[in-house]
Amino acid sequence: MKQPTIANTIRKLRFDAGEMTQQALADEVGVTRQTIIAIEASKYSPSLELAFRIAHAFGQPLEAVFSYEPPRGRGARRQ
Amino acid sequence: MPSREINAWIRLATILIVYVPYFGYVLALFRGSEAVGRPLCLAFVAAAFAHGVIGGVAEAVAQIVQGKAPVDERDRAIEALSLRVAYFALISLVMTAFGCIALLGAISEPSAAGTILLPGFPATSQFVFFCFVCAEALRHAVQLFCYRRAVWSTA
Repeated sequence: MKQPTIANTIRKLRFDAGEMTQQALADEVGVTRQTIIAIEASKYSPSLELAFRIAHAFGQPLEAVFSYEPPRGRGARRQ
Repeated sequence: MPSREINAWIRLATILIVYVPYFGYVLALFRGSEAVGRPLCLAFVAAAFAHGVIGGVAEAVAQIVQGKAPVDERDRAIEALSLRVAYFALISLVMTAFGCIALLGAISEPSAAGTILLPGFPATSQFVFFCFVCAEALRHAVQLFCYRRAVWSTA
């Protein structure tokens, strides 16, 4: 399986938002706590809609929450 | 542990509990020389009934204890991935089996009566049933893998 190249700062943002719990964030964006845990650990890449909902929950733009790291080596496009 | 992961454990365990003895019994029937038609039918009905009842009761108990969790997009992604893997496995197994039967028919020497001996309907139907059970077990195994490790490829 292909490894994800999408990183996120959800843990830090939760801490900055008054130590918001994973369950509170899950309730706010309408998913289960297990899904938030998986996203935080980069074990699941959320849909675009869910990514926007998470960013909106923190009052941040999408790129402040998620970042894309292009793959290196063979097949990588030149910048 | 999320309730859908528990359900996958229950279904996988039920398959192992019910169908390992079932296919052991079927193999024993085919190894013996006695007629297999009626005992095979009864065993099939008993196995299907046991699978439904044991799995259903266990899932109901788990749901009462844990409560029913809502389904979100990750659950749907895992379900879709596991179904895709199981379907591929099912088609591959069945096509391989029927390919082997066709090959057997092509290379077999006709008997004295001029007929070619191929696996009969009971054996073929049991093998197809075995393929379905394997695919279902694989589906739950993939679900468990995704819930415990990661869902990287959902496209």
